[in-house]
Amino acid sequence: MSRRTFFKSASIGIGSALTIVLGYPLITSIVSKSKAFAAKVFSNLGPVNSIRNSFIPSEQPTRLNFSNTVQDAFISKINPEQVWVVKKSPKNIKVYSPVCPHLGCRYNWDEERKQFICPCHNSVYSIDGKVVSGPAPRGLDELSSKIENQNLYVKYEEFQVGIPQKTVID
Amino acid sequence: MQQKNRNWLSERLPLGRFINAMLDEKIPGGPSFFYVLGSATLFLFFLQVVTGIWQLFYYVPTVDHAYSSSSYLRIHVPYGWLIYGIHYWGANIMAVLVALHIIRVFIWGAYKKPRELTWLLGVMLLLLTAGLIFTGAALPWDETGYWATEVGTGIAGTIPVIGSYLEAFLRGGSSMGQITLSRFFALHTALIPALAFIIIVFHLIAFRKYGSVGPWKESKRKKTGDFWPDQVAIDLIVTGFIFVLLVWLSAFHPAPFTGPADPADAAFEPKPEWNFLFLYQLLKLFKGPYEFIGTIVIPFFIILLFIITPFVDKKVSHSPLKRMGMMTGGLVFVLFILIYTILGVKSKPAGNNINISVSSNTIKKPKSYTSSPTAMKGDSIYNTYGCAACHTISGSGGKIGPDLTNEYMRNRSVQWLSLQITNSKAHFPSSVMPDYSMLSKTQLGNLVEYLNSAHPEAAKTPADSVTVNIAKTGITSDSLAAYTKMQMGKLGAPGEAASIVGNVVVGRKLFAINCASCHGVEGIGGDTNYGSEIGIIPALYPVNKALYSQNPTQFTENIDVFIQHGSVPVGAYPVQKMLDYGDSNSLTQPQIANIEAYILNLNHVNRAQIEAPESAKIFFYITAILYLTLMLWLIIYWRIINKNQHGK
Repeated sequence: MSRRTFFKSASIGIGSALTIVLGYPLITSIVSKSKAFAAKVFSNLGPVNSIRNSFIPSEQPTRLNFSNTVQDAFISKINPEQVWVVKKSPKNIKVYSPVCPHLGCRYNWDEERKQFICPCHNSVYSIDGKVVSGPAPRGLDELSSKIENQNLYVKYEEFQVGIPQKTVID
Repeated sequence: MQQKNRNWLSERLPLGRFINAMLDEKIPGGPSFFYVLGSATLFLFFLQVVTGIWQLFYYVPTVDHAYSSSSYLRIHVPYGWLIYGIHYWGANIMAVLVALHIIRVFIWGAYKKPRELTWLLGVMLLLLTAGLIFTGAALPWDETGYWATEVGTGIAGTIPVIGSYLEAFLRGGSSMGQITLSRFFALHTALIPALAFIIIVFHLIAFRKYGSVGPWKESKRKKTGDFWPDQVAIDLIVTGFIFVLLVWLSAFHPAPFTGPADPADAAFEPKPEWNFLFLYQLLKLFKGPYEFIGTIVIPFFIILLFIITPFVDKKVSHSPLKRMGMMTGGLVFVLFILIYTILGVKSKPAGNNINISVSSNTIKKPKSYTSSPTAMKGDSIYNTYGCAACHTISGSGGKIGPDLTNEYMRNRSVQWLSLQITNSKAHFPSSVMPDYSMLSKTQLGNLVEYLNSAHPEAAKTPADSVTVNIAKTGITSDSLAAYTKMQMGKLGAPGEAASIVGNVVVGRKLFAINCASCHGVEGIGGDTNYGSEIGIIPALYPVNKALYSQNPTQFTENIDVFIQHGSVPVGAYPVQKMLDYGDSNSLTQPQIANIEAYILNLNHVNRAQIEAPESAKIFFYITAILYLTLMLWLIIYWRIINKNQHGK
């Protein structure tokens, strides 16, 4: 062991240690996700009374527009968003995401067939959100909702499309 | 094959020759720990560049999001605290290293012929470093940075003739705003670093031409050592230590969250960064028409001193003992800067008697009562007068009055506590506490000091203690939670303030002005609210169970909706309603953020808590252990070598 090998290995040793202890946090900071703002809030969709009863033959599911507050990292935005509301009775109301679980198009209600139909690839869903026909891997995504003070509230979330499981996108 | 590839590459890109030229150097007198200052500064410059680029992945240079984006990086991004911390502390340590490097070069006379240009390039780098520190402070657009920039650009504006143009250039107009931030961003992240990089290269090329000066004595210069790997290893031992120091500072002494910039804040005490305090202090000596002496004559005179140094000191000898004139001059200069820096640290701007400083984001924890003789006397008064019959401290005592274990955390003034003890009804008309007016002034002082010092046993969470308050008012926690829940639905979404990390000290002042009249001094609550179901205005310490959360972001969002949109208490005809401070713009979003940080602090939650606080400490311990292991290994290795050589 010479003096020169000592200084060489010392330089290389400390140099590599520095690279690792600096490199690890730097890489972690840009490849891993932060847990921030995972919690989503309920948005008010308005009074329950004003929603049509979808189970009366002359009526149909209602498309409701609302302002959805989104936390995008450090910016809080208000996005116009819409949902489909199916009302059986004033206490039994289901809210569906407007996104077709097949590939993410926005589906519509076919008044004559009494079914939801996606214009992109012809996925067809019943009024209960179940797949009737077409390429859709799962039924319509129901959103969590609640009724308080005669108002309907919904927690708007987005789900991964194209897979059989209903998985929330953070 | 490998050799062939190497040849192919080196013929086209002679990197190896360049690296050899940089590393292959003989140091007169051999390697030394004195020579690490330059390399350490270079290492810090590199760290600043890397952590600076990494911050760009998150930072946004706009006045409405600069603060929230840097807070987001520091709190929510994994290792964001480290990236920001290294950059913040790195800038401070770099300033110290640059100063030490200059002093070292000055003492060794390393600026003498033929190294004058190396020195002058170094002076340029000193000015660029100052420029980086000045422009960098503005970028988070927080209270301290904003006001330091306001003052700094204002000073530039007082320079005769060119001042107004310089100020207009820096601010992008006559007042501070978005253009100012954009300019400081461009200067700090592009122009100055690029210039500094080029000049560093020139500085190194010039340095490599004649190399190190070496020891003062001619005889000692005969023996030479290698730059690579000997000096490099020594440099790395020191830079490794600096890195561990930076991690420690970032993990245990993070930069304060001074709250978002509030240009309307008249109470703020603007002061520049410590590096510029000597200039700031000097300015005060020159008033009115003589102001230009402080703003331009002295700074230019200082720069001139640096420039003429190599041309004045022309003696061949490098020994400081033979250059006593220069040494005395240098010492006077250093003392002058030091004294004015210290004066600047201690000074307060004239005509501003509101004493508020936001250098810390948490109100300091006082010492334990056992360490103070007065507080110990207070302890015996507490026991003699039977306070423990009603109050609990450290888990023992009665339950009629509030638990006083963490009284010091409520930041009550001496006056407030004294009045509370002598005349409790002055604060709480329905209080059952007897008046202890028989206590002498000294006894009262001792008791207050006792209450305001730290007591053992960890604080119970407000969620536990809230039941006590509910018991007093006759409302079950269930109905209270239900009440809150019902209210929440109506309230809507949290506002911008919920994503801003406020400053506790500023929030405390705002709370006293805007909130204390209903929610009580320091959020104790208890004012009556006729016509509402619970009959009182809710306390904010301890805060309602349903709103409390250990997660600061969640806690802030929970209370933010009330401050933003207001609320009407459940009940037939509530007299008092919570006003919509956010929606009505009665308070700005930064102000609401500060108040929220204060309410969280009352409830023992730190608004600036990073997302994974334990990871910061673990990372420091790993880094420190790794460094110590390496050092131990080097010492053992070194001893073995010396033993072997001795054996021969």
